[in-house]
Amino acid sequence: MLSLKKLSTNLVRNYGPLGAVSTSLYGSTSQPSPSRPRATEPPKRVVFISQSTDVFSNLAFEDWLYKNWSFEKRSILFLWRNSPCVVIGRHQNPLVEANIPYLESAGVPVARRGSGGGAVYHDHGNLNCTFFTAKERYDRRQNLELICNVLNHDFGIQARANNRDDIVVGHDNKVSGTAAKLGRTSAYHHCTLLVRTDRQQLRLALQGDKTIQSKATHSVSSGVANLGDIGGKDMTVEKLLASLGRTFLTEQEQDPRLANGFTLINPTDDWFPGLGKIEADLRSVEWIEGKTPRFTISRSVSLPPCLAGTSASANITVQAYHGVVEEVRLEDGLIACEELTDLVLDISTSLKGTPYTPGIFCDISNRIRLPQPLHTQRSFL
Amino acid sequence: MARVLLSTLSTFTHKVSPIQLIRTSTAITHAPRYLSTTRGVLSERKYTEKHEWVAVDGKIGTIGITNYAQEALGDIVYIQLPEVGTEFEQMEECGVLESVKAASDLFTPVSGKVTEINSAIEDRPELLNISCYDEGWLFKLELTVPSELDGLMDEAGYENFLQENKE
Repeated sequence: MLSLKKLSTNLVRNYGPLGAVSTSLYGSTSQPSPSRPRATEPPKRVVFISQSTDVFSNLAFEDWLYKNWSFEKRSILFLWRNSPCVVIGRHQNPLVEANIPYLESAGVPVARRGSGGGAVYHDHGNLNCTFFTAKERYDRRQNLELICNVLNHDFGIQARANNRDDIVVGHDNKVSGTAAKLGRTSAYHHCTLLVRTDRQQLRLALQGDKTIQSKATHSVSSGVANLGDIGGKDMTVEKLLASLGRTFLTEQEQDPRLANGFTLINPTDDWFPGLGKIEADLRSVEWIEGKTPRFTISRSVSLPPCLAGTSASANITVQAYHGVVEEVRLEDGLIACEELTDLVLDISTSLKGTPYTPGIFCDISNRIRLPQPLHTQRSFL
Repeated sequence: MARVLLSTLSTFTHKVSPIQLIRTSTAITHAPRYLSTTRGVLSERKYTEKHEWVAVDGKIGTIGITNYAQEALGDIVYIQLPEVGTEFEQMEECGVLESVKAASDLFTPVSGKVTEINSAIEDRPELLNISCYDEGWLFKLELTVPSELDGLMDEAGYENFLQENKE
């Protein structure tokens, strides 16, 4: 928070209360794209900076803006940072994308965002940028070009956007990942920017369980780099934030007297009625686990001698949808005695509809070892 | 009318070469029974300005997105459909279509209660790109306010709308 206060004081001191640079620093303006049907004046640009580092509050504010504001007359750049967390895409499986046991033990939250794309790790060395526009003005490349121009002109870093809309430096080292959400009239495009992120933690946090078979959207992993390693000691998140904000406001050579400057945002329900409910939904099990697409996970379970046939273990598959168990079955192709087949069927019936937890295989294993009459006793749990 | 039929044919057979298309249209004129069935389904389809379509059969409406929409979205990678039994109002958000470009909210063009979802498309989201009017249907619902259909565009109206808004 201190650094943000310092930042805003500096901005006011250097650029006046409206916080904008009066002359265009870089000499070039973006050409209006010929595909834009509107001949009316371009939307006013506003920069919001979050005062919170809580991922759920920030994601909730993003969603709140997207749902409550119209972007016909203004485009917004929202700049935010989070304490360590993992953010997965709308249709991803947290078990596949993140090292859940490690994150739980470290108290690092996992959040699911509303946009698509893959899983990312955030910490204080990462800057998030969200570009809000009217749906017709949605243009990811344009936003990424703005960022690359800033990196080039202000920090001397040769960055470019690749065909996956990642920003890369050097030999395809990724410094930014992109995702977007399209609604009826509004759209947003957000991306990360790795400045001084702990890459060791990033790697550990994103080591999910890849044995899970799933219809969920998968992350495409890449080698990552920190902009701070390339841009030198002067490259900090604060400086990048200020540069991006400044460039966004002045890019279209707007009359600086009209530019609205940087606005600090406190993403709470007091300031934005309805935000509390959105935040509560984002924290809920129904959202984080409940939006997980159908997946199956198979494990080898050892069998007691009375059930073991040719093999002392069996591959059991659990299928779950939206975080709830749908079926437990034996892996196809296994020749099992009738008793085992019936047993697995009974276990499936009793576990169906219960929330999926990673401990389920331990539970199944225990049930298999029980004497016959107790196989499906719920009280065992 | 021939233009409408040909444009419909091109929608269903968009990967077919022009020569094959001519052959198909000749075949159609010699198969009036098939023609009338197709025409019956077509005349019931209504469109919104946001490129959703609804095809009504009695009280049940089948919902999908148009060719323009699927092209704009790009390759679809995941489809989140509504739950059977849920009720929606017109233009309410009822699902998500994720493509390589973005996650797009899906809105229902009419009010109703979901009776069926296309589970084939859940397993094979690419069906939405390949066949958005046929195999790529999204879900069916029982209409609760049938008069809403009057406010939607018919095929000709939608074609005009696309022409007018061409950039």
